[in-house]
Amino acid sequence: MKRILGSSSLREQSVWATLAVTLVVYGFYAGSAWNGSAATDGGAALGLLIGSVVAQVILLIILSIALALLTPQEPRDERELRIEWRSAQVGYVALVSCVLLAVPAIFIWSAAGAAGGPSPQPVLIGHALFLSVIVSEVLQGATQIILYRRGA
Amino acid sequence: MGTAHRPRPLKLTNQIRRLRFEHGEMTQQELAERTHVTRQTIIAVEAGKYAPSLELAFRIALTFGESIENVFTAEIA
Repeated sequence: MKRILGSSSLREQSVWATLAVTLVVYGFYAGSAWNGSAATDGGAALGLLIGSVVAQVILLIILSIALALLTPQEPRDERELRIEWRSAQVGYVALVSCVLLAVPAIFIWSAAGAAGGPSPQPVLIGHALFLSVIVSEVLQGATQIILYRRGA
Repeated sequence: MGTAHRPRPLKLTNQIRRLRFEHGEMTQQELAERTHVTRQTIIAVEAGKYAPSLELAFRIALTFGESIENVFTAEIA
């Protein structure tokens, strides 16, 4: 970790921080949604969602300030912009893929419900769509880190 | 319909390391500051891991007072 911090730019360190915070906060979110009342109760799910986003923002502000104090400021250069564009493409494809998988799954689930099986619950659909956003965010961050480590 | 040919990859090489040492053992950080990029970008360019834009290639060459072909060369692999 010390070797990575010493050989990485401020932007790369920010990506590491964002990815770590995302995994921790939304890992907690997923665990709570899976086990707690947020799995079926819309109010609890909304509270969990808002709490998670607020926690993520606060943690990212604290880490950004710490990184800015510890790491010398550098201009964003062309290689970093290229890495951001390429990873944003990966994140976009992941988001679209997840949504395109979720929509027919919901339709099939609804059809099964109409035929007498279990009906889809709006809370679970919300969790699935939010999970799509988080998966794309994680993949985007992971791609950025791979590209930073490879050189470009 | 013509046949699409995949271009053969270019092997890019550069003389940045040699030129840095010929210019008073200029550090990668110094070169980065003079070309307005991060030190990690200079490391990647010098190692041949990142092909710089034409603008950055010119900036690096001008920093050493060289023409671009004296700093960067390309051959078909």
